[in-house]
Amino acid sequence: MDATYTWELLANGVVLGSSYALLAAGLAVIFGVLNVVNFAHGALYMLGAFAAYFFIPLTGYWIGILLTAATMAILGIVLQEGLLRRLPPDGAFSRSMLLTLGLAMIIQNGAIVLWGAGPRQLPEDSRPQGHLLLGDVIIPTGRAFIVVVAVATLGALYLLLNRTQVGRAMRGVSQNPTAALVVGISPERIGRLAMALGVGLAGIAGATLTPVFTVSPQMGITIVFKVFAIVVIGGLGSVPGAVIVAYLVGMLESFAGGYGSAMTQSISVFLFMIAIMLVRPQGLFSTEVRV
Amino acid sequence: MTAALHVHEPEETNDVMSRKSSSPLHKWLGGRHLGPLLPTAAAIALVPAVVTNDYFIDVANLALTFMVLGTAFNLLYGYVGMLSFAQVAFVGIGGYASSWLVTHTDLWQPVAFLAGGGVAALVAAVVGAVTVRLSEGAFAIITLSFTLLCAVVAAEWTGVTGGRQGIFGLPAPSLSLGPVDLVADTPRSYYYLLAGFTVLALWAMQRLVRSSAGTVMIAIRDNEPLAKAQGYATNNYKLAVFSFCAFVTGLTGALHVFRLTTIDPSIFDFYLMQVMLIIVILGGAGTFWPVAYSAVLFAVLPEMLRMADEARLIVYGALLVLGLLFLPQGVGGFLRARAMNRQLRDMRGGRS
Amino acid sequence: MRTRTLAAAAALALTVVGCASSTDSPDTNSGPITIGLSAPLSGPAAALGENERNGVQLAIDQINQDGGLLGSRKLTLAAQDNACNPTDGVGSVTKLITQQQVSAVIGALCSGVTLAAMPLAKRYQVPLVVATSTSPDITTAAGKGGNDFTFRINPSDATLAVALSSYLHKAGDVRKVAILAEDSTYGRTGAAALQKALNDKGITVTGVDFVAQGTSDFSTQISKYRNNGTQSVALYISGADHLSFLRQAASARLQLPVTGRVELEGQNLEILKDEQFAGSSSVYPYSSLIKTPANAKFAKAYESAHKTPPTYESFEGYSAVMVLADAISRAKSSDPKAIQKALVKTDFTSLTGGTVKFDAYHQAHDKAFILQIKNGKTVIVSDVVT
Repeated sequence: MDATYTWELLANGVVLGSSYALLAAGLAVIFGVLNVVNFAHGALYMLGAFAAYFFIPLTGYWIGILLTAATMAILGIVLQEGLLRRLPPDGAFSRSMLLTLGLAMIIQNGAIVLWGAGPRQLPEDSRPQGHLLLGDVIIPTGRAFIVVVAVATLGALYLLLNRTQVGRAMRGVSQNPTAALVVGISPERIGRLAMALGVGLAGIAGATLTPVFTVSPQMGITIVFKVFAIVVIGGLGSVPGAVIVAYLVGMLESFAGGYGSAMTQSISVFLFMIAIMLVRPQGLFSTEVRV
Repeated sequence: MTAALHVHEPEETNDVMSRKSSSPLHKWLGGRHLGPLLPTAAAIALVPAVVTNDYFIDVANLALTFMVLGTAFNLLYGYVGMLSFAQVAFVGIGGYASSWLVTHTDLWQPVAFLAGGGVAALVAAVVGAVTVRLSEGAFAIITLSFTLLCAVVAAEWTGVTGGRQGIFGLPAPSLSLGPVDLVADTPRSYYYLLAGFTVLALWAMQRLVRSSAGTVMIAIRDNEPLAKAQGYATNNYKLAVFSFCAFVTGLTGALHVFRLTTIDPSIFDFYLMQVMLIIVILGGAGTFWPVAYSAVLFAVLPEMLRMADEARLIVYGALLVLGLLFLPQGVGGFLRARAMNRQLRDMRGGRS
Repeated sequence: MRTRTLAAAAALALTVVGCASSTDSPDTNSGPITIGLSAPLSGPAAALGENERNGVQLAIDQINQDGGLLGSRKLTLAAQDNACNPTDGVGSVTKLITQQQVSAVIGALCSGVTLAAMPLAKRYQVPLVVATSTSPDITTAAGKGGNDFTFRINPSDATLAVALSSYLHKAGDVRKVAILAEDSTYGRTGAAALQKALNDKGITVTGVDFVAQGTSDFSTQISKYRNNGTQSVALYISGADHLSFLRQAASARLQLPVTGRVELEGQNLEILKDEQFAGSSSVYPYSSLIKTPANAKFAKAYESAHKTPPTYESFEGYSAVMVLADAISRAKSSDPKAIQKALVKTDFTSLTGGTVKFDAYHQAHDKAFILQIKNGKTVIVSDVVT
């Protein structure tokens, strides 16, 4: 075990973290603005991967990713308008969580009926070819693209949330829904936008993985729990917190697996979460004061 | 929805008006609330007499298991408002603890079952001590992660849990009373065991809900800061209910895995949790008997639908979504609201 | 209020009673013969269960096309999902036996479910043919172990592991092997058996990693193998994970042969034929390359129906039906107890060319194969009697 190994694990951690960051940011936006814990996030990520599986061979990599993002964002708006917004207001928190759980069951098992349970892979000629060489570290192009897409997308998200009127409105709703209503922010419009962003981000996360991994209806089952843990560690609803913790967890997993076993890798995030909950139950980056 | 509407179920209001004098035993058993329990118990007792096929007895066994699991979850979520995803973990912990005790020690089986519930309650007390003060969302996600961790521990701790393939060949529960040997080694004989347990568990949980502690539970769900302001140690109540439900759930888990004769880490799968959620949501969170009956419905439903298995979970998901949108209080809540309206009408009519 | 509760209780009793009345009466002398299958058709192992069902269905169709059994009685399939967990597993097997009145059960793919199904086979005296579950405890408990109604046709992992280790030892160029296994009974028993067999042959095991089923990212493991002197990776993973690992190893330019239980067919072969995996080998109970007329027929029919070569699970499902059909013919009856008696005396030529005969523990010893990739093509190096 030498320096190359360490660098390689570091690079793996960044790639892993980028996937987690896209997923966690989407989950955090949906939670922050709508106060919905989205259990369907893993299923939507899977749908994004399938969308990219169908788009990329037709349009090529970059346009395929964009088309996936757009399709998934529209799906997000449909879900918000068709389902979430129609929930009765009392006890909305747990009901919305259960609604997304029902949605996840429908999407995931529907995918098995539609596409079969077996794995699929993009045809050879539709995948990004070759690899990058950073020193002695080999990074396949498809994995490097995950980082590029994640940084670009998260950068755009940062600008949207901090530099635009509508973004400030979203953050306003997230911090104080009543006050936001008073100053004339339309909660319907902001809700639609939050779901479009959140589901779109999940779709992008799935789409970037399509050329690297295989695609199957079950792919979202386990990852969603991990992303939940990331968002809780980051402080529920804090988008920057979710992104930072996503990268931390990517590193943590990479090194836990690299120097320990795959089992330490898979439970490291939950142990991390329990540790954080004991010392700082509101999460690392939460601004909210909880009792 | 006002708090009052939640607190007083129509049955209660009705019975208050028509209360008759009753014996102390009757009162202790639950007095005026004993009503629905007796016909339910009678129906449960009737099943073996009319069902001849072993498979349907097994479905009925599952229905009884769901009845207790669903009601325990209803106590937490429907009455206290705690959305706990750790219930399935307690099923597993109770199952594993009792299986280990029976296969590794000479402990008398009934005691091992109770110990299974006890271990689950103990674990719940520890988990709860950290989590009951957290926000709804954090509580849900942490209990969920706890369940996932349990699955990993069950797979890894091979010396105790048997690893991935678990503990199998569990002996049928048996009880020797002098010359009589009772062995629950067929679906039918197991049914008698489960039926007795179910009636007892339902009675105990109903007692709790209708007690003064039950009223505090509902107050916590509807307005925790207010309950706290009135001087109730809400976190202690939540912790106590969490542990109590874990006990009942763990005990049910023990009886469940001995019926299957085996336990492995798949006991922690999310599937059981999904079933519990659907039972409680569609039955009507916070209504006691409708949830218990909806458990029966969801044990029997796959039989009545006779559909492709892949489609079953789609239908479950769709029922969950539709239920939340169009019947948000569940069947129980719908019936309650209707009964309430009728009473209001009657009262107005009486006054005029 | 009382009346409503009573009504609800009555309705509850009626639903259960309503169910009970729909039972069919058994008929063991005429009409179709029902074969039960309990397999995961939902959840993470659903793909494997689908493969097995395809194989079972194919065998049943072929037998029916050839005129059925016992004087033109047709076979029908009753398949139940067991979701790979004992709760559904016990329900599915009880239903197959007591309600659908099957003559025999094939199942249950996942070892945990099979272990839960075995007592039911014994209680109701219906043969259970285990075709894909790998836990050694199944055999220990069957036959002489006390459960006369359980039979297993798939080979034990220990024998396969010994065969593979001998091959690797003889081939001589691999001295350090890492094991990557899925966190299931299949992965864990397979990994343990191989680790022991490799140690016995003096081959170093550089590490054993158990990954959760449904793991998507293998980059950590790939980096590890690249950097710790591993010369070959033995895989005990299945389905999507299997393919996913190979994909990632390929794009990360991991230059080493894979071994273990690798399916050297279909999408896997597309990846493995690349130069970087040169020398990859596998021990497998089945290959579509087996040169017997029976296999040619099976492989062709399967490919035309499903557009892929048959998988291991399809083969075992197919075999299980064929073994049962043979027993039913010899028993001259579709009565489960008669079939059990006939199964014990099975002496059946499998489509691998091996012989299915059950030993005292009701374990069959069909052939298995050491496969290797040579010049981009899978070849059978040798076969072993397990």
